[in-house]
Amino acid sequence: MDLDPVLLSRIQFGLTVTFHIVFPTMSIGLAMLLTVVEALWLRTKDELYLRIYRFWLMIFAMGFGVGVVTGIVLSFEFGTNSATFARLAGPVIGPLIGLEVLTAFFLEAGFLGIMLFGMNRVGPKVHFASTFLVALGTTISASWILAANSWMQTPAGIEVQDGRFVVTDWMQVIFNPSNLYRLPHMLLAAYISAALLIAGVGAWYLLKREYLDFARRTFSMGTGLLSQFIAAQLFMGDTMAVKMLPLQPSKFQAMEGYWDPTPTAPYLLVIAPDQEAQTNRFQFGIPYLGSLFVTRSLHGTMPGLEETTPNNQPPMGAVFYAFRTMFLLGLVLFAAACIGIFLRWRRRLFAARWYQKMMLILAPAGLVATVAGWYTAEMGRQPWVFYGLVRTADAVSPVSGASVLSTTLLFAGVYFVFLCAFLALTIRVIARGPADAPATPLYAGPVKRGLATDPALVLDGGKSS
Amino acid sequence: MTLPVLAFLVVIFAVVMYVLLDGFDLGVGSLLLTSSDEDERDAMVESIAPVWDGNETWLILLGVTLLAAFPLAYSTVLPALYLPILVMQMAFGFRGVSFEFRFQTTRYRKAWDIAFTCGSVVAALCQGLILGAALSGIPATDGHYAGGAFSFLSGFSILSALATAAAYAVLGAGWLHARTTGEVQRKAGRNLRLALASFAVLACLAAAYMILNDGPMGDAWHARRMVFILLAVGALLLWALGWRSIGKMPVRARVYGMALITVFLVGIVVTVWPYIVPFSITIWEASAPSGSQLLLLIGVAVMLPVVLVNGIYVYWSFGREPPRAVNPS
Repeated sequence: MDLDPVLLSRIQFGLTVTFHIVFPTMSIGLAMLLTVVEALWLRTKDELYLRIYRFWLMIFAMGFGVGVVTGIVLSFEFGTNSATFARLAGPVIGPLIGLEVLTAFFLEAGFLGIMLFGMNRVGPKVHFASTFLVALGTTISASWILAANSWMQTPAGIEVQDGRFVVTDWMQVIFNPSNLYRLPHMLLAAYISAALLIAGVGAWYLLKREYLDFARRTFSMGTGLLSQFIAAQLFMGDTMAVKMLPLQPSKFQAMEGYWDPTPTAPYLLVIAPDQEAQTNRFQFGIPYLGSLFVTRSLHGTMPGLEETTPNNQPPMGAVFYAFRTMFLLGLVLFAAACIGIFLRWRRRLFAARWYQKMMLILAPAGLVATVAGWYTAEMGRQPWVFYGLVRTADAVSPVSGASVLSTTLLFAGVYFVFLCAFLALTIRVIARGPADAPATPLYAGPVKRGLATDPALVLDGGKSS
Repeated sequence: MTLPVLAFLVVIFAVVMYVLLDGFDLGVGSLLLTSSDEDERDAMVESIAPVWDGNETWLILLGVTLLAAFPLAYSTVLPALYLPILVMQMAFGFRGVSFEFRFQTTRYRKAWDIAFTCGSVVAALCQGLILGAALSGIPATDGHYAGGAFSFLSGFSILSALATAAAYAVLGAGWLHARTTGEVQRKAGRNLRLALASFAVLACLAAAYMILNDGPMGDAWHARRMVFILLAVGALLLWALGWRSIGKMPVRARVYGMALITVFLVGIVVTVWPYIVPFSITIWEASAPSGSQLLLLIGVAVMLPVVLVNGIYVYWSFGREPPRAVNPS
């Protein structure tokens, strides 16, 4: 059997990075929300905020743990699976990731311990500072990673000398043409994802008529934040799409699903692309809307993928459907946010059970849209690993297909266990309810009480030690 | 010419910090199942729960320093050690999630404790295999790895794996001995003796292998014999001091253990110098363009003091009182 290490390595990286990105997205968003909630608690002394903090901290802690261990894998896969990638890009994006570790990871890792276990050791002010620094750390981390990934999308600031990349201008490498659009897009995606999770859990309790004060506060917070973030995100996404068109034409051509440049184009919803024949065997769309979205006129011309030579084309189907998933989910969330604003204005937010059901179903929508967005970005960049410079197929390691296959299967198994455990424990935390999250801060006692969920341990507080 | 040396010093610093810090986490994990009492195990995990994440970060710093400053080394060594590196990652995964998951469950806590121990032991063994394979030499031609998928496996690399696991047990038992009280502390003292004894045997075997070796490792011994003899004397002294301090001066026992392991790390650097891919690529050959090394070094110079102060603060805030005493005696 002939195993293709290029394809297998891409599958392995795809698997590990897809699994990973869900967790940092959650962490970035939840860390920001936890900072806000703890600030509200310190300001208002309302214990409900502390209960919300403790409850979401438990889920944040588990998600952060999974995010850390799955993230380290990626930084080593650059070398194990993509040696040529590492040799070429190491001098360019290596320092960026190095700065990420130095400016963000150590900050997060150090203060995470205090955030999770230190409430009873350092006092509320230092504890709040720790929460804030963890949130800041996740954001700085995202900034460096987006800088590195954006450089792969739109390389700048280097020249090629003897087959090596030599950086001529670090500012151009870091602030490469796409970074400043993609970073806020990703941060907003994380905030939206977290707002949806919080609204979804609030909706669940509202529907079950349990923990009503907690449910109302979080549902209101979640839907309120969602409506602000999603509005900003639609604007941001649109701005980015317009800026990316000249920078990465082939990605944009594949996103819209057309092979030939088409005037007065419908907005395609379903296509059956045939990459060999360079045509869609079937397509269905809404008349005029495509031209309207892309060119801002009813008769404008949509770009087509045939404008890119076939050996430089990304796979049409994957890019198109990934983009459609993200964009249509974005529109659904915008509609949900508008309904939320309307219900709030009519004072029916906590009465409209159909809306609570809707928000419960939409709870994972932010994470799904984020993954779909990354698929659009990464599949759309193909066949290049550094757009226009180096092909993905030329970036792999001299390792055997059998090694890659066996570790890929192992990763799939291991990550499946992590996913099941994470979901099972999260569902248990939700089922047990926020009543178990201690309502009074403990400033003495053993570490475990900081995160204990066993009611007996929580209720006796620090008294028994 | 000095930039690569400075970058190499950062690599060495990251290795030493990683081994001394995550080494004790992995050691505590390896020793977790030596206690059958759940409260004792809780106390053991709690003693490292707030700090493990920061400790593991030194490994990431090591990885990206290689990527940024010595890309040729990164792209040669990692494919060469493909299987042990990725298996180590999965072991880390189990170890890392067990920290958070075991707190959230009572019924399955034992299962996550087993995952925790297996993760810690496998990660330690993989790191030992990586070290052993690196010291045996990594063949490279034209900057590409030129060996097979299982070239990392040899008698010496297995010996190195066992010695690494024993070294981490020394660090882990030393940590528990110094940072806990009561029964956990007493057991840790006993484990520290066991770990020191096994480490001594394994380290002597490895040293004998090196002296009798007729490859590059043997050459290194012949070329720098005086240095190695001095290091060996120092190691012997620290080992004996550590052994004597157990039970009476737990903090000193831990410090001597850490110093002992550091001496061995210095010995490893003396063996491979000036190669960064042992015995095929030197640090100068593997270096990135100087601009890349410079940016990284500036980052290190500015941030490392902050990182260290931050780390010391975290250790201090959790070290003021030892975690809960179990069955205080």
